Amino acid sequence: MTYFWIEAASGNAKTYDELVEDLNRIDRGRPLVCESDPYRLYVQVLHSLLAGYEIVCLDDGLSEEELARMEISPDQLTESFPVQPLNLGGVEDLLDRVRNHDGNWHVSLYTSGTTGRPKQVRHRLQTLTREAKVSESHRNDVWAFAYHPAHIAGFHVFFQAFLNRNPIVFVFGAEGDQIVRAFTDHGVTHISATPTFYRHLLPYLKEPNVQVRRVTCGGERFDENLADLLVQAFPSARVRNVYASTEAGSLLSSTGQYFSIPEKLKGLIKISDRNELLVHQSLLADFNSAAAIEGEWYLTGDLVEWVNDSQFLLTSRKSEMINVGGYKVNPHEIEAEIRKIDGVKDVVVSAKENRLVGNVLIAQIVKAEHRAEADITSDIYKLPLQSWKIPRVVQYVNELSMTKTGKLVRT
Amino acid sequence: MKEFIDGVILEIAKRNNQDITEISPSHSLRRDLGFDSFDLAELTVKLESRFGIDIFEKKMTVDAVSEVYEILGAGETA
Repeated sequence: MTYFWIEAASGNAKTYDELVEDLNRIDRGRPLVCESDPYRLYVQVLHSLLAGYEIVCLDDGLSEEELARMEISPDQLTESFPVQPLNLGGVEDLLDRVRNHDGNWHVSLYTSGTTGRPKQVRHRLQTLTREAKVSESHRNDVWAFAYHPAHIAGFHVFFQAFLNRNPIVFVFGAEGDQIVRAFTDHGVTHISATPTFYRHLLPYLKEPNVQVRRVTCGGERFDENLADLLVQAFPSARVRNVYASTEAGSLLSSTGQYFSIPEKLKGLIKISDRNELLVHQSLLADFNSAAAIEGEWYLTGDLVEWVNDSQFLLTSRKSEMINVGGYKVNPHEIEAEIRKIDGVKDVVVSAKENRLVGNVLIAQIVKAEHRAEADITSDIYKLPLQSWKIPRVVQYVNELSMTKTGKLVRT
Repeated sequence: MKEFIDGVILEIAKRNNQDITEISPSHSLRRDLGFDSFDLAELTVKLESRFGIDIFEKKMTVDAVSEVYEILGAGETA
């Protein structure tokens, strides 16, 4: 018996055999999935892959306003259609069908758009599994799943583990003590997570964990100090830094903060004269963003600094997108929500660098006289937005700084 | 100073529906008060804007309220 899915917070677990049973039981397909239960989310994803229909995966807990910006009505969340049973013959049959899939399948995920509306990105199985390593040597790996399940990094971890028939220990959103206990109880050997996740976890690790063999950091700028702490916390592990994007999947990997372009991707990834990382369109998933394409190249918006002839460091982003704990946040989207609050005359959302989560969102507000600051602040904390999009610091000012062209200044 | 620190911690804890009325130096921010990374970041920014010190600058594992007092020079510890 091999476990497929173990939840650190609840202790609930499913074996690969139970996964097959659950897949065989499905008689209705769902084109749009918004699941609070990550196991059910991935069951639906696998079902769509095997049954051959396209699927869209959304974050759970999106408000009606957030759905409206994605042009999705709440009714669509419950849509389904009848399907023939999969009749899987067992776990090996399931794995064979996925490993030998013809690739004619798409899953759409959403990423924060630059215009205030989340951007839909359609992935093929090939882009999700491009960096997956499948071999007998990975047969005994045990993966900690520490990313948001409906985001691209979560899909990378899922397929890496699933294709090797590894147990997946779901730790995203679990408490520190539960995560540490789950690592030990289930013998986790591989972790991939944001630096924010590791910073949160380290205080709970009372003694070094020698079972973990691979620690991967992604989604945020790498931090050498954190890397030192990770080596102490996981003395048997190799620490790795990866660069991936929702639009292109996993692209670069390194053992420290410096990246170089691997031989197989030379000619497909380059650095522009303006020091921006560019990705050839042949590596991309499908998405609608004409503005970010120049000729055959996708402009990632990630700026680099060369440290020698072949190595570079990712330094910052060209756009106004703010990275909060590994999530890209569009300040315009948040400003639009805050402007709807009674008593808010104007607002600008900016970032303050923070060593724990990368950036903390700050809202500067010009308020009307008839409402108290405390009431407006209280309304901001209750905004129908995902938790990482809520500004944690609210400041009241008499006027907002403007540039000569009338744009608000994000300091 | 301690009053300000306690006020910020209490405000965040209450927003997270923690049933608590008073902050104790022995409280663990993560375990007793349920602070996640975003809550800790908010605390850091608010304390830094007041006292000019990043409480996590030298040690990322700061956790007890008494440690926060100590870093900010707020007198007695637990």
